[in-house]
Amino acid sequence: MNADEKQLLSALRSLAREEEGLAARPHIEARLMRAWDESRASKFPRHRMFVGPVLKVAAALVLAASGAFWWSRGGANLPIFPDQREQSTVMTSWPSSETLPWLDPEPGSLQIVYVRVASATLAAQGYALSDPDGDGLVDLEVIVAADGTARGVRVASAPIY
Amino acid sequence: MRSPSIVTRVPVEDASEPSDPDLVERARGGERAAFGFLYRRHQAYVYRFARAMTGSTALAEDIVQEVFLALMRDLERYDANRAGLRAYLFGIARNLARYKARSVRRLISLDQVEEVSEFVDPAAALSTNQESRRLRECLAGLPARYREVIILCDLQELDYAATAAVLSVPIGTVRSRLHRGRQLLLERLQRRGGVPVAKRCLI
Repeated sequence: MNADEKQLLSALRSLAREEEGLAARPHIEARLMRAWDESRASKFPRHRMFVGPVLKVAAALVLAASGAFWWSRGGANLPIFPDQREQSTVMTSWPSSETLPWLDPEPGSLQIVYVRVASATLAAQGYALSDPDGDGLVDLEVIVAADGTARGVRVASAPIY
Repeated sequence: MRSPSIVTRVPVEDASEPSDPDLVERARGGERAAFGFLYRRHQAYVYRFARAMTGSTALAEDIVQEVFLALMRDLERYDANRAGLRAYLFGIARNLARYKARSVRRLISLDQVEEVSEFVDPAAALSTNQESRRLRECLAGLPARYREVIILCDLQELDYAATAAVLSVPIGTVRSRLHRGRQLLLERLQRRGGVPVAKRCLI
């Protein structure tokens, strides 16, 4: 390296030192952090938007399966034997412990409510159920979420009163 | 040939501060503060590089913004094993600077580029140091492939390997471009009154 080159290198380093304090103005950081917040915010609702329809579809499936079950039981109007009755409780739309988290974001808040309803009332709603005891009443187990909607329904395996 | 002591001149970060890969990992996890920390750590280097490449403070700020937006968008793509974060950011900035320079030159004839870079840099216009200004102007007038290697090696003080990583060229190419670039810069400076004398610290 000759003298000129050394002098050039020295001048370049001097220029680098002179520019050491230079930086982008603060509004650039503010813009970027706003972009960060917006990109994060757009991800969050996407998750929420995904969960909502899943819950609705799951609830609809539960109701549809329950209705189909009641319809098939009522429509046939066959005598119910104890072994068939045991089978019916298994066939209803009742979530397993694995599927519970899909039905509700807080599975721990779900409650099982036992209800006895008139089969004629259900039949009027389009759910014709057989009445095994012949007393016009059907015992049901209903999983109710904190928002008051049913997440699962099945015929109770044993009389509730 | 550069001595080994000069080659390893990249500033060493404070050991008590989180490392870049650590911050990138935290930012990937959604930690806002980690991304902010990365920005504050590297933005000035990216800004000075972009300013020297384009000769414009406005373009340099645009480039800084776009570089960090690209980092935000492609955080998953960055691989710490391939390159340091600063070299990665310089690589993005270099591509943006070249693209923006081409856009500017579509509107202005090539022989006016030096004047343009002089005009759009308020810091240079206000500078009382005519020597530094002359050096900046001559540097801005060099072909991009020589200018970028001088900026990275002599102004940003990256070593040859890091510069080669930024430019995606072999180390030998960095050496030859640096040598040729310095020669061209010397010629330009000598045509405009000689090589500036570096300011000396008297304290």
